[in-house]
Amino acid sequence: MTIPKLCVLGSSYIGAVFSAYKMGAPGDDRYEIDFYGHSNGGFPKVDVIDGHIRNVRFRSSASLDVRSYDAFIVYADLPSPQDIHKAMAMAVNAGCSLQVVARVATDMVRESNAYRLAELLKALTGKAALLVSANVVSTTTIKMDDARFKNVQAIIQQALGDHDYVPFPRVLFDDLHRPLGEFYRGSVLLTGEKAVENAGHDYHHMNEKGGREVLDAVLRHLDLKFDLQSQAA
Amino acid sequence: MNNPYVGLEDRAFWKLAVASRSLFDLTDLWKPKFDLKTSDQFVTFGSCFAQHIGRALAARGFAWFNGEPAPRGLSASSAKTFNYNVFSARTGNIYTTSILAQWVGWAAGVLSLPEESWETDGRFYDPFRPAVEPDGFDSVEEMQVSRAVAVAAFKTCIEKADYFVFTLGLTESWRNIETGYEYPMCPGTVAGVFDERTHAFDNHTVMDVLTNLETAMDQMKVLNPNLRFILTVSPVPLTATKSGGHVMVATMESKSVLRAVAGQLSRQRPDVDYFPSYEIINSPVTKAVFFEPNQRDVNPRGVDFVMDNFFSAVSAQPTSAKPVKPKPASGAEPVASAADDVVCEEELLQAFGGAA
Repeated sequence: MTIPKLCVLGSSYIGAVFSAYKMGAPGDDRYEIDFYGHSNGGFPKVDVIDGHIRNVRFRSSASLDVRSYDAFIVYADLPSPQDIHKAMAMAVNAGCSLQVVARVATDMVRESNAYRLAELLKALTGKAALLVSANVVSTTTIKMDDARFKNVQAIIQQALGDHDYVPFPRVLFDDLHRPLGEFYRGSVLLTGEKAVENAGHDYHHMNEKGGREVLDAVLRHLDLKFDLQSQAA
Repeated sequence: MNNPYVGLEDRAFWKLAVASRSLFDLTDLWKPKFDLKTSDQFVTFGSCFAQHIGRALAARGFAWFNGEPAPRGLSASSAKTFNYNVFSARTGNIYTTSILAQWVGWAAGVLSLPEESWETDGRFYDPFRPAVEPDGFDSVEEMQVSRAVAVAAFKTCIEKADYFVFTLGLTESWRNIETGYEYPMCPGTVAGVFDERTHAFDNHTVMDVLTNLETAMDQMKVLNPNLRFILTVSPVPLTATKSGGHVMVATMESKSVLRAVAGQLSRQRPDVDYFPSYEIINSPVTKAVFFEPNQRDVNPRGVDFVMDNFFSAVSAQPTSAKPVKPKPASGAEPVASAADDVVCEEELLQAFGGAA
């Protein structure tokens, strides 16, 4: 059986995932993965031109025609459930109608560059993408219970339409869905370098351990798609 | 021979100021009464044309105050759909001076907020802002909360502003006979159900318009004694008239009434100035070049021309801060855009033209 070929496209967040992938884990070889990325400021310029992903600052291999990939994973500026929850709460407090509050969530998703690229790739290849939310700043004060968190996840999925939303694993958060510091210490930037020397963290990027959790969540999702459950570690 | 016309500026003489010039060389059409600064807070309300003024002020670096901004996360397109960032609060179009007085009365606490709502197919519409939520509200309560927020934002605009820029649009209006409240749109057009036993047509006279505008201004001055007013008359003709007359004749009558009141107040009150949007677009000198082919919508060149006159007059003031040129950066709102980019409830009346 042919090994599915994946394209991970994202902002500097993908550095942690790429580092985790390079370190390897049992079962990773059930997929072949290429990484394409640009830091957050440059990510809006990332485009698909003549069938190739262009304007990236980092790629892990030679640029291939996007039609040669079996699945696309976009991990960049799709707002997190925490961010959407906060914006919706602010709209409610401002006296906005429920229609406006719902539109806030939909617009936040659809105005993201992650969604733009997912739509572009779908138009070119016919394949819907998997999208991962932006990291939550590890010092966030936003608190959400499980019910609310799931509710916002469902809103994100609805806004994404054909595309699949891959939530961060529960293990990355505490009881109130605030990020746990152990996945941020020693944060990794786009090309694999540490954000801060001496294993400090920049509050924005995850480390390899966090990257591994995200990668596993994505691959578990794809296992169902490609019927590869038996090969998973 | 000495007489009062000797020594007047060129702008006082038709031959020198108009006949001997190209349309685009007309200058000095307006001399601002106030020393307008980019740091002054401007709020804009009124008919459809007022939207251009708010946008242009913001694009030229003036402090356009938005008392009810779109919530964070709402896209520019959705914000427009839901009537955010159109006027300085989410009032919808305020076409008449009587509706302005009504809004001011609500803001000042002089009038109580009406309880009326319009229901269509299980959705609820605000009779006083029928188009702000295109699909209506989920419930009467939601609509009332939203209206209260808009009234509070309108009050904040009055309190915070240095200049209240108001575009007078119409004299024709519809009123609830029982409550006395006036609607911006006739019930049964955008939403609601028309009932001739409850809903009455008014065509405001010069005295009505004057009284309502002065009442509104005086109440605003109670909230903000330093507030000053810039009035202008919308050059956009009526979409439809219920006056019984021809719509073109009714338009001229309405605009003449509004123009007369604006001019009179500008001469009488030191806190009122008049900017001639109406004349710039509608004068025979312009030969209707600033209208779209339907002879009603002002085209983008016309909007630009009006606003260029506004800002060139402001920048000619010796002590004023200079407005900046609008930046056509990607994603930025243009200074003037096509007529279909304007949120205008009255245009919905167009749909009834030719109806059986």
